[in-house]
Amino acid sequence: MNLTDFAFLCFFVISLIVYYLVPRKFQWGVLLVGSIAFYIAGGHPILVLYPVVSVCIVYVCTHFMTKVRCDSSKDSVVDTDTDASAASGQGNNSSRTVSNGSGVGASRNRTILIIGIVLLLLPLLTYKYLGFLWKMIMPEAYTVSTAEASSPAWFQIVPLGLSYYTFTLISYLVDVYNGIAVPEKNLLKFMSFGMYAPALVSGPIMQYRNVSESFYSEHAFDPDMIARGSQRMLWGFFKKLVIAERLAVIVATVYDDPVTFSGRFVWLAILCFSLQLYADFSGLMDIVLGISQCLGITLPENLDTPFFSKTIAELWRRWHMTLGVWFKEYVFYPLMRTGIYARIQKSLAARMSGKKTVARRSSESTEAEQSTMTDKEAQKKAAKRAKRISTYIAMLVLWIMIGLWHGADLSFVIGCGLLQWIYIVLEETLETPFKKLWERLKVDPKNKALEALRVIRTFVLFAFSMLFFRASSMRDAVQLIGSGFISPSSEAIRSASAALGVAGGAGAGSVFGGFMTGLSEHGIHILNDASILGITYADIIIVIVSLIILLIVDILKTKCDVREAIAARPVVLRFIIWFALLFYVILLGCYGPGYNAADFIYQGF
Amino acid sequence: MKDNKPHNSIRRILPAVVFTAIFIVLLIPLSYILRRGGDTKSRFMGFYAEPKDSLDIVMIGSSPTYSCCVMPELYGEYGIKAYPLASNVQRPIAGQFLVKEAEKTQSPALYMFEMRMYVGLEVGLGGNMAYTREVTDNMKYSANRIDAINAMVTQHITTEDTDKYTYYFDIFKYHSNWGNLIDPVQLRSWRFSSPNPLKGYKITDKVGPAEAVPAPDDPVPMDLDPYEEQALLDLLETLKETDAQALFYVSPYVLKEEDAEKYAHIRDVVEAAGYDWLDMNQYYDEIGLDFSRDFSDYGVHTNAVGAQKCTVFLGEYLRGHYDLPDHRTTDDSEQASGAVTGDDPSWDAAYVLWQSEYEAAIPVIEQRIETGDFFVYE
Repeated sequence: MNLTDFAFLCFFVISLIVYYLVPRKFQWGVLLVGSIAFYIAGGHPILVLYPVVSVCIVYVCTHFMTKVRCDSSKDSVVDTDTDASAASGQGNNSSRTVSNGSGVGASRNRTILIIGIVLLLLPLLTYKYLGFLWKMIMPEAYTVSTAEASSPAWFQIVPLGLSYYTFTLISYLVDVYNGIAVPEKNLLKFMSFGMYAPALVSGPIMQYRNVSESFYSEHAFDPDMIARGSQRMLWGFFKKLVIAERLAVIVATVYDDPVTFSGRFVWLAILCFSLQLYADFSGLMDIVLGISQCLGITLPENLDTPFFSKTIAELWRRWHMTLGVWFKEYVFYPLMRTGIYARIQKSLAARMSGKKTVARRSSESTEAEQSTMTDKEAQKKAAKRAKRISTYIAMLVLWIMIGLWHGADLSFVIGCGLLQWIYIVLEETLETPFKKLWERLKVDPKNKALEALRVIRTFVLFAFSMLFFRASSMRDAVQLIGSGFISPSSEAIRSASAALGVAGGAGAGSVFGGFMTGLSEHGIHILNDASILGITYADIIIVIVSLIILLIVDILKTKCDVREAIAARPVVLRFIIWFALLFYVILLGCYGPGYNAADFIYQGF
Repeated sequence: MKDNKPHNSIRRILPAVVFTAIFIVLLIPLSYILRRGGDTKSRFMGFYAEPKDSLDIVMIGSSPTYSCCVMPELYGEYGIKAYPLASNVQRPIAGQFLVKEAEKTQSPALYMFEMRMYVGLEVGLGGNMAYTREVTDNMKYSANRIDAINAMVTQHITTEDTDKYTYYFDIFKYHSNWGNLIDPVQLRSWRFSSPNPLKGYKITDKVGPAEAVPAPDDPVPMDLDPYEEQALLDLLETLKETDAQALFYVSPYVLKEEDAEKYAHIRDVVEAAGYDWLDMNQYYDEIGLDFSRDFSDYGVHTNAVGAQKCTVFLGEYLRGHYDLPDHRTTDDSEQASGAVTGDDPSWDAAYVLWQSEYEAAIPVIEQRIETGDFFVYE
């Protein structure tokens, strides 16, 4: 069941009614039953056991951790101030952090933590990465058909939301271990969180300590809140059904045949895919967060107008934010606290330091200045550089893991991992030289034109890296890049046009040419005809108009809460706006019989 | 303060309730406008546009219903108002629901059921969603429509439209026809009621010659497909709830022996139920049909000339067998000169229109026969 299916919408409405009819203290029960029903309706009921068992594993682990703490004579309980509890994001849990103490207790809890994490990761690693490892180790023996033939039937269906709930549960387990989250005692109540259906399917990755209060509070029926949630869902449907679905066709047309659709078509498809990805993912998040808002649950935002970012680093702070936070808190920071990292840093510092005379030229002085650095200063500088390089190394590990999370293929590792790392490292490395350059040229680095160029540059770099995300394999990605530098053959385009039923005759090789030729031959009816991009000319216009609307709203979002701003308007104007959007989606959305609605891109993780 | 709470709650809920109500009110006409245009939509809308209790006959069946009988001619020359609630390859199961639909606004003295589809197989008839949608997506929203959908959308559908909700809310199917919103013709369908200029008749000047196959004299009755058999029994059951008589008929076409055997079975069933049976394939000579000229597509549907001949035959038959009102207000001499008026201007206009189109079709048909410009299947 897809979140844009009519069946799901009916299911949601019924669930919402029941949610507000039951006594408030049992609302979490409705969430649990609804989530299980949603999971079962996904097609393979038996797979519901995966999240159920995962939740039980975590519950048992945290139960034992708590028991070990209580039993250990060396536990120490420290009452923290409210600032600390606010910083850690604890909600209705009491403001305490509980340490694991030291000695046997700490060791036991660490063991429990490791066992819990391994058990949680086992299905994820098996389903997602076993094939990848097989492909890497024995590429000649691996084919998709071989893999399918040699795997049992149950293995070929990946449990829904496997990585999302796995990460959510790992975060809970680690937070409980670190004492910044108080474990939930009621298994079923905890299960309602661990298996929360909307987030289970596609994120956001929740942190228990941040959402538990919102989750378990008793929610009074609030028409305004339901209205806001519904409005947000509608906006999500707009992005997914009107924009993403249409762009998907253009992208598929080119990606499926890069030999024919080479040159300018490739770059157009790369651009379109990034826009498709944004519309698809942000649309999905709007639907999920909108659903949650209707239920009175506040989930963390996952996107914050990322394409307005001026650097790749900033983009990834605004794109898939909960993934970034998760990897930062549970991979990057722990990695940087390991002994290996410390040793690497130390080793690098030792290599770089030494009793050297360092010539330093100040850019601000009118004459060159040479000074001999003292040992202390040299060491300090070397340590700083070593820290930076070791951070880059840790980041490399981090980004490779993020790449792997996106998919078990080299194309994901490179596109969503390695390339991002290269971008960020280059940005940081070149930051100072560029700063000096602007100073020398007497250019204000914050002037609007430069900022706009940075935004465009960032988008282009990101779009290029997403080429790998969309390609079926590394080979296809490389082929696509190569095709981008070859002009499309007129002959090939003509026969592709004929196959697609494109009107416009000789002009059909380009969108504009085809449109103008068709307009003169068929008049306004050309709008219903297919273009070379695989969608009709009317659809192209719809996509352009819709992207403009999206851009305007995203710009407004940087200045205010758009829904609240609309809510403050007179009722007639509000109705006009929401009816306009509603009928825009109903009339122009890609759904229903005859449409093969693509799953959300981030749903398959 | 306590007294204000319910008032405040109502105030907060009211905008949402009003919004939802307006949405539902707008959705229905929008759905009607967006429905696929074509002669079936026009025909059904024309039925709904007919004044209450004004029709003498409602004709139900598949495409021969509206191509073999000329409704304007039946009115102009025999004073009978007959309207076809018919669609292409109409599944027999639709019959009972269309009778109920007709009974909402009409009280016809006679129902006529064209029986060709009853000799078909459900796996073929029920497999293509178009045959179902031509009925369900041309009915007004009602409980009867929901019943029709529930009965017609079965496991036999093999095309992509397997979800019933896309039938209940056909806007899921037709939402991309937003071009209809700027088409004045389609905009008029917002109430799903608009007069049909030829009262549901579809005229064609195409020619597809065939060879008449003599109908077997006394075929041995053969059972129908179980689904079609049940559909017939359900239809007979529904008819009992009306005051109308019923005539089950087969229009002329190139008949197969197996079909004739199934018709024999149908004849036995309907006559046992007290209704009438007419197989026009027994009367080629009386009708004056020439299969080489009077059919548009090689013996399946009559063209303008063939339809005129069939209508004369039917008109005589109906006048001779049923006590139906006569809506003509002119005498025979005036009628002979073509200056016919009846008691209904819209039907008068339909008759005049048909006459002009029929006159225009005759030379075209002659030309096609002469040049061999015959029907080509798309």
